[in-house]
Amino acid sequence: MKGRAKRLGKAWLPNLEGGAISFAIEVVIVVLVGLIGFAIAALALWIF
Amino acid sequence: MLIRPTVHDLRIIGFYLGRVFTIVAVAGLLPLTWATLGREWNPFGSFLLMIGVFAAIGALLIRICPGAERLDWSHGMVVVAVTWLVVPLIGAIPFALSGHYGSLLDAYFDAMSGLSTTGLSLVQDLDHLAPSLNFWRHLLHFLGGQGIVIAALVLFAGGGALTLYYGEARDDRVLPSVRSTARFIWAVALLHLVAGVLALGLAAWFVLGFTWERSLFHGLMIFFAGFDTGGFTPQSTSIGYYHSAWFELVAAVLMVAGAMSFGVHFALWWGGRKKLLANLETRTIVATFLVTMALTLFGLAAIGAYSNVAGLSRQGVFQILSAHTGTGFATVGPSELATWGGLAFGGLALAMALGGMASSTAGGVKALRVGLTVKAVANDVRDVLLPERAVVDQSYFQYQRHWLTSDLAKAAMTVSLLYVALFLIGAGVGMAYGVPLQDALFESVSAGASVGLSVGVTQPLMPTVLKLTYITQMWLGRLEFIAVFVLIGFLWSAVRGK
Repeated sequence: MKGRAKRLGKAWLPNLEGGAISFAIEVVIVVLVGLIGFAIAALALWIF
Repeated sequence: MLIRPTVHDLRIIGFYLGRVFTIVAVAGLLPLTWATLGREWNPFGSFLLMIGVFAAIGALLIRICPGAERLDWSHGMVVVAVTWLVVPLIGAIPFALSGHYGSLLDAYFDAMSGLSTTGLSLVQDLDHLAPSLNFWRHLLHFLGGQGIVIAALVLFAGGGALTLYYGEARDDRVLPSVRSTARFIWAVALLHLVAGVLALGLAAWFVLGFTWERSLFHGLMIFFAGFDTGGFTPQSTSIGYYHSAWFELVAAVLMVAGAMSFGVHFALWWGGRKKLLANLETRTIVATFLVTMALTLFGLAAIGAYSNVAGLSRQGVFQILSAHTGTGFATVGPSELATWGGLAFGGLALAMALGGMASSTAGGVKALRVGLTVKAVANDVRDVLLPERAVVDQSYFQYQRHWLTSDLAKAAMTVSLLYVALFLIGAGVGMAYGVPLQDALFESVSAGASVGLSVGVTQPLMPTVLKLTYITQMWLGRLEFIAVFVLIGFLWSAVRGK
C-alpha cells in the first residue's frame, strides 16, 4: 500500500490506522522519556 | 559582477507575495468570526482593518504583477524572507490596537514571535486579553509552523514551488511532488489537531473542571502552540497554570510530534519504522536529548532545587522536552528558571541551541546537522589514526545510505557556526545593556533557536535595541539564514548591480 500510495502521490490521504499508530508511538516516546527521566532524577538525588 | 534585478524579477516576486498575503487575509477571517461570535467589537474592528490591508496589498500585487511564472531560487528565497518580515507587521495591527502592548514595536515583536514559532512575548496583562486576540496569537504559530507557503503550495502550486519550500527551511520531500508533500504535512497536522484538541479538552474538562467552551478554547490554543513548537499560552503562567500532569503529558506528546521531521511522520504513518532507528538524525537526537536531560537533572539535584524524585523529574523532564523541541512551554516561572544556574542552565541552554529535527517547526541547529558535523570530525580523526592505506567509511544512514561529502559536511558546519554566531551576538547586545552573561546568553539562544523559554529578560521595559535584536534573531533563526542572506544580496544587487 505504501509503495502504491507513494507512486500515485496519494499518501497524504487520511490513513486513520497509520495515524493512530503514529500517535500511539508518540505517546510511548513521551512515557519512555518520563521513565528514563525519573530514573536519572532518582540517581541524581541519591548522589547529591 | 552583480546583476541588477529587472522589473520582470520584481513582478514575479510581487505576484507570489500577493498570493501569500491573500491567504493570510483569508486566515484572518477565523479570528474575525471568533470576535463576532464572542461579541468582541473592538478586536472585530481591528481584525477587519488587518484583513483589509492584507487583501488590498495582495490584490494590488496580483493586479500589477500579473501572470504566474516559474520562480527561480533567488525569487523564492526573497518571497519567503519578505513574507516573514511583512506578515508580522500587518498581523500586529490587532495587537497594537488592543491596548495590551506598550508600543507598535512590542506588537510587532509578538507577531514575529508568533509567526516564527518562538513564543517570547511582550504582551501586558495577558490574562485579560480578549479570546479572539489570544486566538490570533496562537493562529500565527499555526500559520508560521505549518507554513503560509505550504498553504500556498497546496492551493495553487505552480512552477518553481520547490524554491518556496526550501526557502522556508524545509528540505524533506517525502512524496514525489512538493504539492503532495505539502498536502501530507497538512494531513498530519489535521490528524494531530483532532486528537490533540480532544485529549487536551477532555483533560481540561474532567481533570480541571473547566466548562466545555473553555476546555475547547484552551485545548485549541495549546495544540497550536505545542504542535507548531511555538510556546504561546492563553495564560501568563504558561503550562504551570493548569497544574495537571495529564495536561502536561498531552502537551509533551504534541511538542514531540511537532519536533519530528515530516519524513519521520511519514514513516510512522505509512510504515518503514525500523529504518528510523538506524537514521543518523534519530540516533543524534536521542543522544543529545539524554545528555542534556542528564545534565539538567544532575544540575538541579546539585543545587538542591527539588528534594523529591517526582518533583525533580516532572519539572526537569518537561522543561528539557520543551527546550529541546523548541517549544518554550514552561511549568516554572521565569524568576524560578533564572535560579537554575550551573549545570542545569547549561543543559537547558544546550538543548535549546541543538533543537529538533530538520524540516520540522523546531528551531536551533537541528539534529541532522549536529550528527553530520560529529560524523565528519570523527572520520577526520579516524583518518589520522589509521594507517595511510586504510579507507575510512564516509557514508551515513538517513532512510538510505548517503555519502558524507566534504561539501555536505561544510554546509552543515557553516549553518551550525552561523547559529553560534547568532547566539553570541544576541548575548553580547544583552550584556551591553547590563544583562548578566548567563541570562543574556539564555535569552539570546531562546530567541535565535525559536524556543521561547525566558529568564525574565524579555519584558515590555527592555531596551528598544534589544527588542530589535531578538526580532532579527527570530527572523534569521526561523528561516535558517539562507533566505535572509539572499534577500540582502538581492537588495545589494539592486543598488550596486549593473
